[in-house]
Amino acid sequence: MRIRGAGQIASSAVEALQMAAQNSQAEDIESFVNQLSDAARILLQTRPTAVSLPNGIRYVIHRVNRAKGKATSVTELKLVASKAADEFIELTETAVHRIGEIGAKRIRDGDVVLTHCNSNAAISVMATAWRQGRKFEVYATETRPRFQGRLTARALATVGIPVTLILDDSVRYFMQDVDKVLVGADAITANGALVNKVGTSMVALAAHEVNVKVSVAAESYKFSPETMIGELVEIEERDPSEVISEKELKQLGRVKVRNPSFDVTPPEFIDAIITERGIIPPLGAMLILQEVFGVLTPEELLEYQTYRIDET
Amino acid sequence: MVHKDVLKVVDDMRIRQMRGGTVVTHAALSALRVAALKTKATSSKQFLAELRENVKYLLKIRAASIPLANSLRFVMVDVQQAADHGAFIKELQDIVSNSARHFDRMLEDSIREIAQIGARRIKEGDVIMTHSYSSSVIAILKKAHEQHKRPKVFVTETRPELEGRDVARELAAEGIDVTLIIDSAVSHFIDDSDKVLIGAEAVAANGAIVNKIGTATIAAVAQRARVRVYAAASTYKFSPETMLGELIEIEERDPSYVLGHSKMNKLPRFHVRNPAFDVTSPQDIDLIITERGVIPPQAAIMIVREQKGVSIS
Repeated sequence: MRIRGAGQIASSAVEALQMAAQNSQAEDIESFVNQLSDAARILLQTRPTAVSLPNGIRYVIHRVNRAKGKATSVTELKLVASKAADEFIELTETAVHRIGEIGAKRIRDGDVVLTHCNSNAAISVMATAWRQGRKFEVYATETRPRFQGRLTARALATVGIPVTLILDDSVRYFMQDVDKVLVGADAITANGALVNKVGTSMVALAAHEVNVKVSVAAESYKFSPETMIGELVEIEERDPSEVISEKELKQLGRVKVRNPSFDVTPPEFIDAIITERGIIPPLGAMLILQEVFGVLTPEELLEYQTYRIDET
Repeated sequence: MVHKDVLKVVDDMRIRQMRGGTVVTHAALSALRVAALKTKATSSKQFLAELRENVKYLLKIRAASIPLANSLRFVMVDVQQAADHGAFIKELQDIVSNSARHFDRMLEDSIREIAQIGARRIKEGDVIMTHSYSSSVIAILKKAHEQHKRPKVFVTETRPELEGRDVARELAAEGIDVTLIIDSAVSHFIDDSDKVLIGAEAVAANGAIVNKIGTATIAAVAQRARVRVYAAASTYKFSPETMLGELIEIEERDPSYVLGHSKMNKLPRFHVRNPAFDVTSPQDIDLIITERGVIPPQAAIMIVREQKGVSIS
């Protein structure tokens, strides 16, 4: 389950890559780069379906490759690798806080904000706005099957924000009272689609129908070039026991259960994505990817190909 | 003096034993019959007053259940008419009994007819998405299955009372291919679906459907995905009140259904809202299947006008 957040998984992997770089015995630049690539490949196997992990690895490798041409020694490249690793690790530690500060400006006094699931980035935005003195209230969907929305409700209530817990599918009913929707992200695809907890696209659609803007709070390492187009993302299906216990299921007779973990919200339902680097429109996803992780060569893309998103 | 059977029915409705408007109606009529038989009234006038009290109590609890209102109206009209002609208690009791039974039969006949008409709309191998518990929808699916059309059904669990599980059980017992999903997963599976089939607690004069919370959301998702939405509703679900401009009152239920009693006590710092029903606008409904045939939502007014002819005092 959610033992560690996406950022932590990525930073652990990057730390390991950093160590591999520092401990390398390579004598020349080419060997060093090859060794590093090998280490990267091994690390990618550890959590092949977490979006943030390949991004972290890519962050380091991209900078090493960029410096490769001008570097005169292995030591120099080691330094580049180490520095890049430190930068990324720091990013994972500060991104959520930064997103809170940037996103808080979008919440106004008197707003009714609707949120889904349990996202640190989204909570950060709301908590920051509240601390800055904005007065607003939140509707939080309970978020089946694991009721993660209750965690969100509790976290917000603890800060002092008035929160109302509602059923996932009552969003259409309440949408007329809502001013804005704010959700987190498990992944943003290259075409700006949002992969997030199942039910998100339903929320976004209901918002779209009544012209309520949907904002997504997403750290830059959630942007995933492997998921070229949202619709191609293979959605992980989890244990049916999250929906109904084995015993209760047996009592129903021959009934199947399907439990998709995520769904895909198309870019046209998203108004803005709040990243630690600023606010971008969904179609600006490629910009973030290029700036932060570099342009992927086809070979790299094939290598890092993960079309499944894992819940971290 | 409200009879204890009536009290029990109302309690059952409250404590989520009841599934769907049709089931509620049958139970209410049953209880009313018993209340009438066991009356302690000594005059027709008293009997009538007692009956009215029971009826009022039943109506109070399930504001959105139009077939319930229509059925009680049906019985009361007959009883009132007889009382006006000087009938004695014994005769009035018989009238309650017969009238209630008559309505029961009409309701059952209407469901059987809806099943026939609705099953015709289902093609071989259709994948159908449904929500909440509806006797009409279940009847249609069973009929289609009998006709070897082998429908595959996605059943939403339908929080908070999870009556979708009862639907799944009933359909599975018939050998129908059923998959249980959470309500939120509708978007994910809508592209695999051929039709959405839902019941109705009430149909308004403009063709809007009042049904279990979540229906409006699902219909919107279906519309967006260009999947047809069919509502199955007997004409007894059509609501004359809405013709007079009255908005159907959406009852908000006990929040402990959402959170559970123990959790409510441990976490008093946030509110919970639990509306039981929502309204699906006619634009999101493609067809209403009634026992008299299939109509577009725009034609609902014609049926509602007929129902209006049977009015309660």
